[in-house]
Amino acid sequence: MSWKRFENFAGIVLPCLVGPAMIVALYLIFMVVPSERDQGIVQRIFYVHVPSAWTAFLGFFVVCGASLLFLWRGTDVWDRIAKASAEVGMVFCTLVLLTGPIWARPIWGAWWTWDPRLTMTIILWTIYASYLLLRAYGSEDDQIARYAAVLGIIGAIDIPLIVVSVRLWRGIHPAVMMSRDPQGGLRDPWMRFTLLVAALTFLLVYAWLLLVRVRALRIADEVERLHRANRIP
Amino acid sequence: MSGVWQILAKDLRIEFRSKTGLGSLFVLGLLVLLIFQFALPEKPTPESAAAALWISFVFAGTLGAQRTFLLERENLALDGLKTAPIDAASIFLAKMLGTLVTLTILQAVVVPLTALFTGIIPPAPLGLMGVCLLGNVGFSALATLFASISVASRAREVILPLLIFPLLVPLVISSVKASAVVLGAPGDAVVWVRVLVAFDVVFSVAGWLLFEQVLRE
Amino acid sequence: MDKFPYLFAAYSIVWIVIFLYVVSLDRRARRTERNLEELKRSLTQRLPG
Repeated sequence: MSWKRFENFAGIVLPCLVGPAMIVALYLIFMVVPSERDQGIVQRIFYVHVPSAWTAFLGFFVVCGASLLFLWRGTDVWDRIAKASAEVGMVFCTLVLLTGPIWARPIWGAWWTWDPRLTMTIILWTIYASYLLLRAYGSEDDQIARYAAVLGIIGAIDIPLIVVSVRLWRGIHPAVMMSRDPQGGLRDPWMRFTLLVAALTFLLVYAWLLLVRVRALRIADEVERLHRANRIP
Repeated sequence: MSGVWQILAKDLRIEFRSKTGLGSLFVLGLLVLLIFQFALPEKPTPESAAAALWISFVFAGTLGAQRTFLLERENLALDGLKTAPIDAASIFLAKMLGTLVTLTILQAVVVPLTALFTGIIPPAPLGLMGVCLLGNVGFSALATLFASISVASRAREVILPLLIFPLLVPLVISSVKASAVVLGAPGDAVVWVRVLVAFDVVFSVAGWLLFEQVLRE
Repeated sequence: MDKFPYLFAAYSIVWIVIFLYVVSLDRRARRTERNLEELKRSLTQRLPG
């Protein structure tokens, strides 16, 4: 299946899935899932906060994968995917950092906590920012795609090291790190189900936005190419 | 391997012959330490001394890491380097070692100054030197790789801190924590040293592999 | 507890509006791409080589 075919197919299927999926997720979050015992209604932010975080991290790994493929294969589409994923991933990363304090304030009294997840996310945000800034400042270099790819790969390699060092910094013993990060005790099966649905929905939203953005980047590249080929200033 | 030594020797010769350069590095290191002393009102502790040490190192070191590629800007020397019969990975090794040497000298100035300003004499000087070296290696690896990008790109040198500071987080956390312990703070340095070693290995190898992508036209 | 249906309605409306907007953005991008292809074709006809 050619890329064009795949894109046309996804361009129809994704919105058809995403649109209803979000309605379903919203329904679950507001009408179905029970309130958490200790935190009350505010806890529902969690169903948007956590999926955003997962998507933000996925987004950067896509930047890395696309960067590797770009360096290996050389076709421009991988560079466009890397750039688009950095933009969309950045959006989700920002959402995590905005919903986090909104959730933290009523629950823990403080707007910001240095708990591992938030700390990790703000560092990820700065890595995204440095990637986007490099692309912005260096946009006139013809090698910029290559430089950005190197940054994308190194950034992703760094993430596990950041996770380990941040957790150690917060005093979480290494032996404990091997076990799964507790989601705060989701006892009710509806809670787990809602989180899963929300996560899948956000994943689909990410994929859809990625597709839309890649197309826009491709058009921009084509226009650029035509300008150069026809020597239009 | 001989190519590596040749480039390294050439770079070091240029470094030590230049009248300016290294001096500005030391002064910057000193200045950051000074500002730190004025900014922190309380009595110095091993933790704050370690913090001052590494912040000073990171700022001055970022400046220092550029030098190895800035000197290639003259006379299109970088193009000469690219066409030389030596592979990119070896060039990276030479550049990284050059930065390592420069920054070791920087540390040799900054560490005693920190001890002087804070009054905290390192009880385990060899341990501190070890931590400093480990931190230096990881820093040099990352800084060398991205200095080549920042010098080559139109974005210029201002972008180097933007590129490497987020990536340096594990290094900074580990170096500061390990240094604090070695300077007398309670805790276990070994776990931080392990992170440092992992960081050093991972980014030395990554830089060594990826540098070719930066040099490629 | 009884106000939840309103919350659901409000957020759903926000989502639907944003969703339709992105769909329209994509539609316009597709149209631009088609125009671009036509432009390319007429350019290569006018200026061969």
